[in-house]
Amino acid sequence: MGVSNYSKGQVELNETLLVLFFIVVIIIIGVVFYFKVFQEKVKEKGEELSEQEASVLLASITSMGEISCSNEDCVDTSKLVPFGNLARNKIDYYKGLLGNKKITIYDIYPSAREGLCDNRAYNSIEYPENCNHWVIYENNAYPGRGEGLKISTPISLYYPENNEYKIGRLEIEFYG
Amino acid sequence: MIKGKRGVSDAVFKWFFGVVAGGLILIFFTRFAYQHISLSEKINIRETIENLDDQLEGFSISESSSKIIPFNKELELKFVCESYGGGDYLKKTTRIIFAPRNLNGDSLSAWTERWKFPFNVVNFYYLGNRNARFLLIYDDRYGNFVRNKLEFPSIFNLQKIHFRDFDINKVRLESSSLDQINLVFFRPVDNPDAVKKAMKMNVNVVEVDADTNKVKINGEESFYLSNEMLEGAIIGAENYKCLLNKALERLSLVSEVYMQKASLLRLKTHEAECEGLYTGIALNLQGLKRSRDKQELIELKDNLEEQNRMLDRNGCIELF
Repeated sequence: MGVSNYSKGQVELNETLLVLFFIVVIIIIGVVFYFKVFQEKVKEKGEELSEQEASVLLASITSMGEISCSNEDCVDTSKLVPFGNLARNKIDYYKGLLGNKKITIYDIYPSAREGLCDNRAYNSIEYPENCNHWVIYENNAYPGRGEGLKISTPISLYYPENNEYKIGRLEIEFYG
Repeated sequence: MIKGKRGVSDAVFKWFFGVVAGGLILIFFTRFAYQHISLSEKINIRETIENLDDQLEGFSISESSSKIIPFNKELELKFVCESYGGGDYLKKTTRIIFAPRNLNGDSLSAWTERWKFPFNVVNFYYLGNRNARFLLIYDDRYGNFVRNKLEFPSIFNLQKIHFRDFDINKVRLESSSLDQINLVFFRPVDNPDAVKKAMKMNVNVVEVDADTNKVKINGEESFYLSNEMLEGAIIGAENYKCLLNKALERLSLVSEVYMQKASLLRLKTHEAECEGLYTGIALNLQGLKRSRDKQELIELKDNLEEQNRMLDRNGCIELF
């Protein structure tokens, strides 16, 4: 009874509109899916570039005038406390250079006592045996995200106070 | 008759509907494709710039090194003092990159040198390509200095000629297909504007007085502190003044580290002589940190070198 109320033309028009509607829905789903995949790929690329940047920095940071030895390929430990202070005071400048990272240098061998090397530790008579690591730079723009990815490399540490070299580790934690 | 007419209008409507709907879908996809191409290009440029930045960072390990950095396509790169990039992407940088303001091509000639004043301060980067030419014009007085003291890698389009061999018309003809030329005169130029006019292309006129460490870039006076800086004025003439300030800012920061190092070493020493030397050296470092005067900076550098030698002679720990 109800069917007879619609003419053949109306039914055909409804069919066409329905087909068109489904085509549009499929296109929208396709575009949304495509953009999601594309966005994911861009994000992945961004992460890959950040990792690459951190790896390059790992190799190059030891040649920065602020921490490097004058004539050798090593890190001058007597510059680490001064540089840590400077990087904190001039965070805007060093943020542009080092980015969103935490940079720590560890004294590995011969091992020293566990502890942070700061002004107080340096001025102690026990130095360099009273501490084993320096946090030379820290800038975390996303503190809520937790720990970042860490990469590290062995380095040579020079202690000018007693003209000694030790084996160290440079660690970069990057926060993305 | 009426039935026939209804059939015709039905078919026409279907065709009309199909064409409009199809057209809209086609427009949508065409727009989508164009937007995607433009977005992909933006992403590609960003990726290229980030890769270039990493290559420059890796480059800084070396005291002096040069290489050609190829790109996978023609790029228009822009270099301003605080940033560089391509398209509408400019990456902020603290690096000191001496380069022409615009570099177009499918590769870059890159060179780095460490700036010491008197200690390691920072690596300078010099960028160019075949489309940017640098011509060093010297007279008898500075011939030796230009030929022997200023050494550029062969990957740069740079030549050195005596002033007597300089023919502006010949240079113009040789350089007509290039994007830019920097004419660097190691002698005074009477009328730099006339030289610029005669060249009829993008040209920078740099005048160097190697006796007083002064440079005049397109008539604007500035100075340099070392050959590495002079090389920067030659390659990156347009941005030189700003890059000089950037280099001095970094010098100030590194001086601060050495100042604190001197204070720490002073506390560690038991020798009165060493203590005095560290105090003196810290004073000069304070000056180096603050000064923007060429003569004062050069004198402070010389003093620091001497004081560092004195530390060594007196059995104290050297500062640098």
